Amino acid sequence: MIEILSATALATVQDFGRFGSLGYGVGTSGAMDHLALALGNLLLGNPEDAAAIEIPLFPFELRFIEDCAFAVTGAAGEASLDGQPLPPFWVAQAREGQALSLGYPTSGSRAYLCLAGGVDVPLVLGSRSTQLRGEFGGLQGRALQQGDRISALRPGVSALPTDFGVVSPSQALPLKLDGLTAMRVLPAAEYECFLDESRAAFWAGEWKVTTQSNRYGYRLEGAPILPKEAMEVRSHGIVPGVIQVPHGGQPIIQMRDAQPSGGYPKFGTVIEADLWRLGQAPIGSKVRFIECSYTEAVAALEDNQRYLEEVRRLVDLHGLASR
Amino acid sequence: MTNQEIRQLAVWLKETHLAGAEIRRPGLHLVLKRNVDEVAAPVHIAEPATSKAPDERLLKTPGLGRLLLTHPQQSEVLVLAGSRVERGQLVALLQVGDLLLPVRSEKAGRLAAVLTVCGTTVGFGEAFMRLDAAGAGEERSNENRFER
Repeated sequence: MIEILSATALATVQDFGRFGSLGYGVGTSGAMDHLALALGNLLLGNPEDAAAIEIPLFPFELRFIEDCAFAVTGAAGEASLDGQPLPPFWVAQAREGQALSLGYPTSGSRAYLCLAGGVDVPLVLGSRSTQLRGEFGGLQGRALQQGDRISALRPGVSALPTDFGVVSPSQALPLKLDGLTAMRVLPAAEYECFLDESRAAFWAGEWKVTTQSNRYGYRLEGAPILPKEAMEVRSHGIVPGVIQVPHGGQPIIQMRDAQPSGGYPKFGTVIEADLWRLGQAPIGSKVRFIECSYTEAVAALEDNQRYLEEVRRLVDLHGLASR
Repeated sequence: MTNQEIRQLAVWLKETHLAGAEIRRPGLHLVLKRNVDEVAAPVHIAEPATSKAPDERLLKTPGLGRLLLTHPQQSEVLVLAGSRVERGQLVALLQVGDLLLPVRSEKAGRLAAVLTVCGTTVGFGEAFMRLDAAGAGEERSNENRFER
C-alpha cells in the first residue's frame, strides 16, 4: 500500500483501457503511453496491462506503507527512493516507510508508477482505468489526492529480481524528423476535402503542442489547415488518435479520454503504434507528422510488440540467472 | 538448476549471440561456452592489466555487456571523477540488449580514475574504475592495514 504525500493534480489510475463499451458512449480511457505502462509491468513480472498510476504533474511524492516492489517508467527526471537515486525505467524494492520522490522530467511528460501485481482498484466494465468524464473506474472515478492510499495486488518483498532497468522506447524505437518527435499518420475520410497546399503544409510543417492539451485531446498550433469548401459532417464515431480540423484550421488530436463521437471533419489519424509518442510530448514542444499506409501502420504495431517481447525474454533470462 | 534450465540458457546464449555464461552460487558452478570443443572448469578468465593499482581498489565488471558510465536518458555521468563513492552506489550500467543492469560499487572510496570509455563492450571481471582511499573512513584503515 502507498500513500500520496504531495498535493497533486490529474494523477490517475490507468491500465490499457476499457474496450468494448464505445457503443454505450463509454470512451476507452487508458494510459497515454501504453509502452511505458507495459514495460513497467514487464519489469515487475506483471501482466502487461496491469493498472498503474499515471503522473502528469511534478514533483510527485508518495510513501510506501508496506514493503512493495515497484517500477517507474515513462517521463524521465530526477527520481529517488529515500534519497537514493533511481534511474529511469527502473524496477526497485521499496521497504515500509520509504518515500519515493519524482522530480520534473527532462524527457517525456508522463511518468508511470507500476506496483507489483498492479494497482488494486475494482474492475469496472472490464478495466481499472479512471473514466474522469463519467466519474467511475480507477480510485472512486477521480484523480488522486493528497492522503489517498492505494494497494498493490502483490505487495511484500518480491521473489523476482529488482534493481535493474530497460532502455526507453524513445531510444529503442526512435522516430524523429529534423530533430523533432514525429508520429506516423494515416489520412482519414475527409483528407481529400482539404486544400492541396494545406495538406502539403501539414506534412512539411512543425506543430506546437498548446497549453490546451490534456488526456482528452491535444490542440496543435501551426499553419491553418483549410478546406476546399465549407464542410458540414454529421457526428460519427471517433477513437483516440483521430485528427479533427474545426473552423480556423488548428487541429485537435483525440487522446485516451476522447469522447466516443464527434462532428468535426477528420484529416487523419495518428497510428496506434505512435500515439505514445504524442502522449509523452510536453506542452510547448513541437512535433512533426509522417504520412503512412495501413500496412505500415500495422507493421509499426508489430515492431512495438517485438520490442516488448524482446524485453520480456531478457527479463525472464535475468530472472533465471539471478535465482 | 535442472538440465532443462541449462538447455534453455544455452538457447538464449545462442539467440543473443553471447559467447558464454558463468553462474556461481553455493553448490553450483556452471560454465557455458559457445563454439568451443571443450570447457575446462574452473575457467580462469584473464584479467586485462589495465592498471598496476592494488586489486582491492579496482572496481570490476560483474558480467558481459556494454559498459555505460551515463544512463542513456541522462546527460550526466553516474559518478564524477574525484567524487566520493559509497558502498552500494550505482557507478555504471551494463547494457545487455535492451536490459540495463546496475553496476554498484563493492567498496567505498574516492573515484580516482575511470579506466574504460563509456559504451565499451566488456567481459566478466574487467577493471573499469579505480578508487583511492581518501576520505573513505573505516575503509581507509582496512586498506592501510593491507598496504603494511
